[in-house]
Amino acid sequence: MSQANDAGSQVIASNMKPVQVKLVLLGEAAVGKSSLVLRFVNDEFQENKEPTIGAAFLTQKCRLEDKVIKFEIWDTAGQERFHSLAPMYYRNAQAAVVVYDVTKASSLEKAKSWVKELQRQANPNIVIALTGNKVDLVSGGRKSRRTSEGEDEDEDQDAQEVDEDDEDDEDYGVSRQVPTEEASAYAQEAGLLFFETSAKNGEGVAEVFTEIAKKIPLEHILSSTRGARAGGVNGSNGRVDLQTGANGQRLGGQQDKGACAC
Amino acid sequence: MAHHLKPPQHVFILPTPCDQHNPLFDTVQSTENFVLQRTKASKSQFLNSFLGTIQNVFDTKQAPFRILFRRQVNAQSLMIAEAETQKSIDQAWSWVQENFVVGLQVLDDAQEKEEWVLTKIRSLVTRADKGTDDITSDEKVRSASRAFRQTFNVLPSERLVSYYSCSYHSKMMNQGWMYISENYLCFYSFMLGMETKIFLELKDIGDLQKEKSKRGVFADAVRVVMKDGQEYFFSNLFHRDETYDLLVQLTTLTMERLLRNTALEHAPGQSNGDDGEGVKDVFSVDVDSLDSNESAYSPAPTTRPLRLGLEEQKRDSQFQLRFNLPISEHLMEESSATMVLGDKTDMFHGRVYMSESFLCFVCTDADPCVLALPLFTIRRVERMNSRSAMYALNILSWHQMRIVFRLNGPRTQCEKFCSTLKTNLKLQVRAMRSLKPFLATCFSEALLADRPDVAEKDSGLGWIFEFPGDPKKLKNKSKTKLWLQYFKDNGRNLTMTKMATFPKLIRVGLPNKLRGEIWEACSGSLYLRSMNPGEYTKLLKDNEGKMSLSLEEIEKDLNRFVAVNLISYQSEEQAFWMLNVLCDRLLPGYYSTSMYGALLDQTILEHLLEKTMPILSKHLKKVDVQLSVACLPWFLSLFINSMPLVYAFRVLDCFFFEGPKVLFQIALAILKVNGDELLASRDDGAFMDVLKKYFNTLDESAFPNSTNPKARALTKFNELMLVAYKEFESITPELVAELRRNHQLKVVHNIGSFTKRSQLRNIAPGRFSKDEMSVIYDRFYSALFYGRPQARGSNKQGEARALDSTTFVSFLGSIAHWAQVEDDQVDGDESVTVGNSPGHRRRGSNSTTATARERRRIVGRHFISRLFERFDQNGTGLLSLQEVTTGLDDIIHGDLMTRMQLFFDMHDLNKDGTLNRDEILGMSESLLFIFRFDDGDTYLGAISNFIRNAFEFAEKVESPKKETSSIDLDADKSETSEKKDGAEEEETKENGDITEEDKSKSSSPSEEPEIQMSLPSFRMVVLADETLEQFFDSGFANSCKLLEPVDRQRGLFAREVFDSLLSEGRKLAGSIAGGIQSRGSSGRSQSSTLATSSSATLTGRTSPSASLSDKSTSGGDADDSKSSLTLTSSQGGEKSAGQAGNVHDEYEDEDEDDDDDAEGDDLLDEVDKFLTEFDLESGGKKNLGLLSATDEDGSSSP
Repeated sequence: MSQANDAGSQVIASNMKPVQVKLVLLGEAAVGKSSLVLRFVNDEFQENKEPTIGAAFLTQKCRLEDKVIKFEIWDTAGQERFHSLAPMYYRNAQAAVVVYDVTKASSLEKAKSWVKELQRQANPNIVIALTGNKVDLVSGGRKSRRTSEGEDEDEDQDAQEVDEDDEDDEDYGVSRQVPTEEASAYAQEAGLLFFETSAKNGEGVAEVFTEIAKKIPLEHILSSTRGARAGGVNGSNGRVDLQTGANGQRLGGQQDKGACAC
Repeated sequence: MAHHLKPPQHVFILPTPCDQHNPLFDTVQSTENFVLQRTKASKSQFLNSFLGTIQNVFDTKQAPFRILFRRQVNAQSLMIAEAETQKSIDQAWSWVQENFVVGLQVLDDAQEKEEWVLTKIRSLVTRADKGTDDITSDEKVRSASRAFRQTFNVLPSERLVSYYSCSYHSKMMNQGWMYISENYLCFYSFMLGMETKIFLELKDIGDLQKEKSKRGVFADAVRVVMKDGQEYFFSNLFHRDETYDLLVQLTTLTMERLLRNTALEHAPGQSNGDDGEGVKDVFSVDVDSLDSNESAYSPAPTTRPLRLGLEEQKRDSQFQLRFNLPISEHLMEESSATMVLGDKTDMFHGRVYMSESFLCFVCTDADPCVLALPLFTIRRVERMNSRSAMYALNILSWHQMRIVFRLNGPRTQCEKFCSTLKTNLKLQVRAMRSLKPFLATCFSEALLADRPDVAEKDSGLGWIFEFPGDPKKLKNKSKTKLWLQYFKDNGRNLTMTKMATFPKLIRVGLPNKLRGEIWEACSGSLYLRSMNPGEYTKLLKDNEGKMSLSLEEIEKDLNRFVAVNLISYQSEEQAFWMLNVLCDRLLPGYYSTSMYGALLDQTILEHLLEKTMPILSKHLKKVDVQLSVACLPWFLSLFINSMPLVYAFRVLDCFFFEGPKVLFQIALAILKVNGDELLASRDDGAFMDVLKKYFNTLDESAFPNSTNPKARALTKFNELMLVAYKEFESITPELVAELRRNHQLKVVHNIGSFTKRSQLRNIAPGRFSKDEMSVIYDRFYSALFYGRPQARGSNKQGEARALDSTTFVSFLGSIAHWAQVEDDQVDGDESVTVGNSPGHRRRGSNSTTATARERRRIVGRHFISRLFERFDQNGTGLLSLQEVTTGLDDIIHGDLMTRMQLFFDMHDLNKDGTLNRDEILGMSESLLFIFRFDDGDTYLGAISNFIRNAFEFAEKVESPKKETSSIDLDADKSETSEKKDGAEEEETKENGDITEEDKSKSSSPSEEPEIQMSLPSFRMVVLADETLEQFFDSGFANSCKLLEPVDRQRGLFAREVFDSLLSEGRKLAGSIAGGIQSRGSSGRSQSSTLATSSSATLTGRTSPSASLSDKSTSGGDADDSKSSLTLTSSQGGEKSAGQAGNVHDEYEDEDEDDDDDAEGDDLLDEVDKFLTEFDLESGGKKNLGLLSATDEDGSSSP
């Protein structure tokens, strides 16, 4: 819960011009992608609970240090039939969260195949976070993470979690099939961020997005965004512009010009 | 025709280009435009045989007499008639003179003349073909089909659909023939010694376009674009549209098969294996009973030309679509007719159609109406006495509605119509019984009985939980009243006529309680439900308690898709049949695993956007927003998840009546209405926001600031519908159908290449390069696609992604030439053809070669099936792409040692770690099999050496252990254990199904001491021979060709001979005759070399003077590779190095039979004979039918 609130508290007023980050969620069906997003976006986008056909589109703003980031989240449908549509959603994405279910070994295999696909087909600078969800189901055996938050969960969240994610392992005491070490080693090898989360109790969820935000070259995006999406962005936010100027000089001038011309 | 002379039957042919100055023909008569020719063949025995050859090779219609038309355009000739007898050609000649000469004098343009003649001839031929004389037309198709098969080296099972004369444009124009078969589009022309041969797989066609021919004058061309971008341009197609339509139809069928048979489609969750069974059960029932789409492909024993079947299928499907009928209905009768409905005086002029269980009428006047009346709703039919029409049918429907049809056709047609109607009505009597209970489920009945508030049992959830929206605001009551009146006037549910007012009533939105039923009536699912009473309940019962992954998927999808919303207005059973129509007819391929239908419609939407709103389309491209991101969910869920429900249902009302074109109209209208805002959005996020906001305000006024109160009352939804119907009126069902046809190939190929990429990403490629993997992938799925003709239309999706033992054979054949055992069957087929030609090669050798061929096939199959077992690491009996990749990787990239090990293991049938005698022989047979296409005869020697050395260096079990110098590293086995092994083996032999011959052999072990060869000795034996070493070192690996085309030996050589034949004529023939002499002697000397090299000490098991009976036994038991080598009477006949040599092998061996038989008592001699037999077969293979002719020639000339 506290994690989710953290996320919520990061949401700020809209007077600051945000950096847009396109983020896509991928993973096998029923690993909890939608739940993760709903947990992250929660209060602000209650009405967005549209079912996943192709992909659901949600947005969430959060503050990172001195910047405001607007996540445009494409929560894709996990079923295999939607696979061929995925490129449409991860096209131009700056970040991807590839989700697997820690209680289902096959879901990690699928996640790996998604990672492979992203690394070959998607934006070359894409930041990928590998996320093992549903740790609340196996909370007994974990070391460095808090374990008991799950009990405080309100009924609402519970029901939702079951709805969205679990088809066969509602009963607790399901054993972990993907050891943290194994997944983490893979993530390291493949150059991914790695998290274990519980959409149900909020554990680790906000971290995923915060860490992604930290790792994304925001300045670069900003400048290129402004190049592509002229209007609106420039001028109104001095701080962000300064950042751009400082770090993105090679591109900066030209891009600004292009923006103004539009 | 005004001419008194009837054209002779079956003499005229489709005009075929040919060479007028063919040396093989003499001109008998000639006029300005026509030439009558006769073959020289009858004069010369020699030439006759060569003609036979050509006939066999080419199988053109080489009748002895022919009539040519002189083309003045390019000084060429077209053959227009041919005949076997002087008499019939004379008839044809006079007919030509009589009918053409005058006409040709009138025309002065050469082009015009030609067109006139050819059209006339063509119509003559086509009429004859379409006539009742099936045998003759069939014969024509058959011979064309034979020519096609031989020219293009396709399987005998491949069926030719049609063939057209046309020209192909490359650097020059080639006049020739286009052949269209089930799977291929081919072109062949032979002009001025230049051969043009094009072979295209229908499944690789990416686009088809109608074109004007080069000069832009004639609309007679078709452009074919392959998926790799290669283009082909065919013109001079006399029936261009027919050709085009046929190609479209066939490629569509091919696409469907491609989607079903390969990686693109599979049941959900099927990859998880175990539950596949359940999946099949749930799905197969309705698919099998409803999907008769494939009827044209079922291997029905009818000899009816495939093309007729295809035409029928097309006509039926148009008929079904027009009246929303179940696909079990076939068009049986049709007639122009006038309909009068009830007591009214309005007359509707149109056409009446009849199928097995429907009588349909469509009026295309200004006042349109459509009626599809199920025959079982007809109470009575009377033939009326009417002055205006001879045949007037007075029909009384179940609902006491009187419908009168006046048939306006010729008498015979009307009579036929009436008698078919009578027959069909009788067959429907049984179905009438279920009508009453069925009508009880229709709300319209309750409404008319004036008990509209009675909740029907089993109706939609809305009856219990109320319908969405406020009924008052929806004007539910007055709408219901309107419908009540409509029912009274025009019939209801099954007997309802859709009049001009019908669409209007639909577009204002349906009243809640009638909605479900009218949806059914509009979409045609009402018919399905009424014709399949109890089917749904039965399905439920049959599948009760069954679990499948599909169920899980369905539960997950429940909230997102259409079904759950249908249930508000319909009972479960109604919704079931609705979904059926939705998935099969309205939105084909939407809810399949690849969703190709949905993707196709997205492509079409983009296309339409570009056409109708180019600025927005350009803007989207500029800011890189993909339309489908927003629009795909609209189409997939029919707006149910995008719009507020009340409005989504209004869309559904229109959709079920007017079909998918409504979705396009509304989607485009949405984009249009929001155009300005969309033009301002710069990324897909903003794009989505605009649309989301719009959908949430659909109930608001479209013109809130208008002074006109009527305009103010107009909601945004009203506006949307107006725009959709007014501004996008041009989007008709026909347009959508055409666009679907035009784009489907590209879409399927895109899905294909996407699937390929994503599958290959997850395959461990071993040491294969990316390109090589791509080839393996293609050939893998190609084998699957073509490999299971008998499974066409079946639902075995479980096997769709893995090779079974049959498809593995064709896969391997596409990689390695030696594995092309299928070709053997072609050979068999051909030998029959050849055998029918007059007097040749019947004597003795036929049965012999049949045995040898059989033997070789068995050896090949065995070898490949053992390879299959090796590849199949988890023993499932199916090979996945990964298993195949790994297996091939071992073969191709392994080293000398691994390959020797592989062969050793493969032939160690009893898995005792050593090769016994039979296993060694099996090995040698396998080697022979693999080498059978090799030129030269070094390998024969190598294999002889192998056997000799193997027997020499192997340990002999029975006899006192005589240590040779063999480095037997595995010598830790004690003698006793070896003995035991031997004994065991005997047992297995006894248990296996072995012929008596084998038993008798094993009963006399003293004559044949058992031997055992270990792996090290095997290696040593191999390495002792250069050829074998080279084979295991690189030869075998190199035989698998991935990046270069695999040899296709068949046909090539024969064609070469044929080519030079035309140019060289006698000269070549002479040289071959000479060659026969010289080759004969050299072959003999080789044979003796081989024979004398036999120095093994083993005793033969049977007499070498092989009798035929002996052979047939060994052929029969041959599926056990322990059996003895086949012995054949026609031995000798050495492997000949050159092609010319091959030609004469056959008769040569007959000469030699007796000489060689006397020699050699030992086994090796037998082997030799087998070898030669074997070789001879492969030689014969290369020769095609050519063999026979030269054979005959050879025997007569020396």
